[in-house]
Amino acid sequence: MTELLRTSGDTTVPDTVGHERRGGADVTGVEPLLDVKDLQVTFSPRRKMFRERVELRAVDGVSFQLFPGETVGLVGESGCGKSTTARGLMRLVEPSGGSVTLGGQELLGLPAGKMRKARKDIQMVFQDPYSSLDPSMLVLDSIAEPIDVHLDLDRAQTVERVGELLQRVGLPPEYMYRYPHEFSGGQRQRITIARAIAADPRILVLDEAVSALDVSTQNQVIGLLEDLSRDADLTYLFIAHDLSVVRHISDRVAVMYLGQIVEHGDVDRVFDAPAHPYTEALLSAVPLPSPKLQRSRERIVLAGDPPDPSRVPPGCRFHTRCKYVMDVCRTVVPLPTPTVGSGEVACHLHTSGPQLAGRSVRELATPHAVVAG
Amino acid sequence: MTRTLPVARTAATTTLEVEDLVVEVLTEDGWATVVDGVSFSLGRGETLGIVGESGSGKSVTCLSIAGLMPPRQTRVRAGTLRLLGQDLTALDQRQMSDIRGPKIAMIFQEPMSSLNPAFTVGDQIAEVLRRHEGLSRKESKARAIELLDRVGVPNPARRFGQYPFEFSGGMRQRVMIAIALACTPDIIIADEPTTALDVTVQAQILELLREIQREHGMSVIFITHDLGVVADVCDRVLVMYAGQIVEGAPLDELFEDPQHPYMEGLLAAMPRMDQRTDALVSIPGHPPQVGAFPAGCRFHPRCAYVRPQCTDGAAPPLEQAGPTHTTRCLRHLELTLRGTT
Repeated sequence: MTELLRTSGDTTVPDTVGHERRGGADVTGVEPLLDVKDLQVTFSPRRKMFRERVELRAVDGVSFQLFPGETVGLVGESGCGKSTTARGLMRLVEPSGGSVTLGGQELLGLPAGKMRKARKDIQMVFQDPYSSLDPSMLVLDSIAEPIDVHLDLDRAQTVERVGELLQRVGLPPEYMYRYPHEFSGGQRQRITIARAIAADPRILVLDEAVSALDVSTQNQVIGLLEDLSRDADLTYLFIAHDLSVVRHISDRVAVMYLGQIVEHGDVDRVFDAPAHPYTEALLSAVPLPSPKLQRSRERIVLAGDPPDPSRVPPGCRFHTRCKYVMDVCRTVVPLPTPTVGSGEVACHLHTSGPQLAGRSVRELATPHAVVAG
Repeated sequence: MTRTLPVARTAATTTLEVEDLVVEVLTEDGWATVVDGVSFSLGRGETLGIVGESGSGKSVTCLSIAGLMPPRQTRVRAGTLRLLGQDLTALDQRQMSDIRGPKIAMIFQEPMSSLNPAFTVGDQIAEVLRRHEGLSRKESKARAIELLDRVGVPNPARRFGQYPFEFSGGMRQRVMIAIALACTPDIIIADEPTTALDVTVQAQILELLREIQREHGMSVIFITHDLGVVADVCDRVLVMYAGQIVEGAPLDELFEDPQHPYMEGLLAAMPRMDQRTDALVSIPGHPPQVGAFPAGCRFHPRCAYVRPQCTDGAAPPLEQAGPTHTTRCLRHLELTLRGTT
């Protein structure tokens, strides 16, 4: 899946969705900031004690690009490999193959010292602000750590910078002399964001960064992230299981299933006209906060749990749960093909499925078509 | 404290009646009220949603109904709880544990911490059946396997002998539902049962709960902060804020025609998967801490429609805003609030 996630201009079909980019730059002709190609992360757990190890490809050939100033959402169910993709490209787990280029520099294989320097440009925010701040360290010292590693500032300058950072995330500067336990979940997440942006990175990887927060707090933190991306020209890889939040914040979105990207494209295209049956099922499972609309929707209930990632089904990985499954799906691995609108999809329905007027009938489906109340 | 009007009954027969429930917890500064005069009734076969942010008292209300609040740090200060005519507040711990299972069952958010990791899943279902139904070891095993099959656990006979860690999150929640279902209770209280699950698994579990409710005609109290889930499963909804019910209405009416600014705020704050929203609205500030509820309307420090009369004195009474619609907003007659369509 090499050319995955390159947008615009590479499809011959006109853009029917009519997208506009929020805050993001026009990506045509721009060099990607981060280029992930065919990323592989393999674990080898033992299925039972003293038994042979099995090979588990948590991330199996993921490719995507991040362009300056944009937000790419990465969605999928737990266990699909979205967090492992993030950890792999940060080299928090060591990938077993592929390539990750950040601003032209290959990260995989970099010696530890150079990798530490490269991390100045790419920082991460995790889900749980309770476990990502050291409870025994002052907020000042937590935020100062990346400054000490990456920037050459004396103590007074560092303290001043920490104060500025706290203000930028909407907290009073004097909070730097407090400990994490004195803060609420939302405030802690602001502190971890301040720490992540302390050394002026270009990319933030946000792994379920707002998932543990109440809806009001969540919206405030999302607002903060949007402000930062606009003011500091930050680029986000936004990993979340909450599709409503992803729709709101992302310019483009990629859907993962069992270690692979099955579909990607502009956020409106993917949400309004999903091309992959898995995306369709995923979207139809999100209940809408409108009783009339919710009653009128077609619901696709996927049976069972996703398959064991150490025993990946042959052919299309989704064929065991797909309601449109054909014979070809059980044996042949589908390759990514361009979709109407933007992006790509890896599904046989688009190439070997039923056709209507020269187009795949799949393009006619819209899972949450608005039925007027 | 003013007595609150009970929310109008929509079902012919009432399973549960809660009247003027007041619950206190012990804090560093003494007893503080967390649930303050909650009254509602639950009809047979009805699904009642309770929504609100964390700390609004929705879980405490339900734990108190089930008699599961820790006895020394909490107390039910006032109120009556009538389950099929029987007053639950008069019962002691032992009598309450006879009620839990056959009459009231609970399903919690985190199935891993509600199941005992040291016993097989089958044992934990069979135990309920032996304790409450007086079944023998053999009978209870057969019945437990039936139940696992009913809630959609594949290979129930083999899964009976496995431990909770061998189950996925969705499968554990199915086990919890099997335990709750074991004695066909009159009421199931589901406290954020799908919050920890993936959306596709959530859809499966909600569908399962719906089917079971249809089969047995049981009543369900569904606690959640997800208004999408509420729209999907509930018949009627109560909105809680700072220990009080601030609004109650049938599902569609509440969403389309909210009568309290807090509910309007909750609806506006939900990012929508099916729509493009330019800026997310959020209710400013935070819910008040227990023991520090503001005077007057408890929502007034965060309310966009606040007037001087909202800011002091006792909390406004719960008023009728329609035949089956109640609100605790003093200004509901003059305000036109925005709902969803």
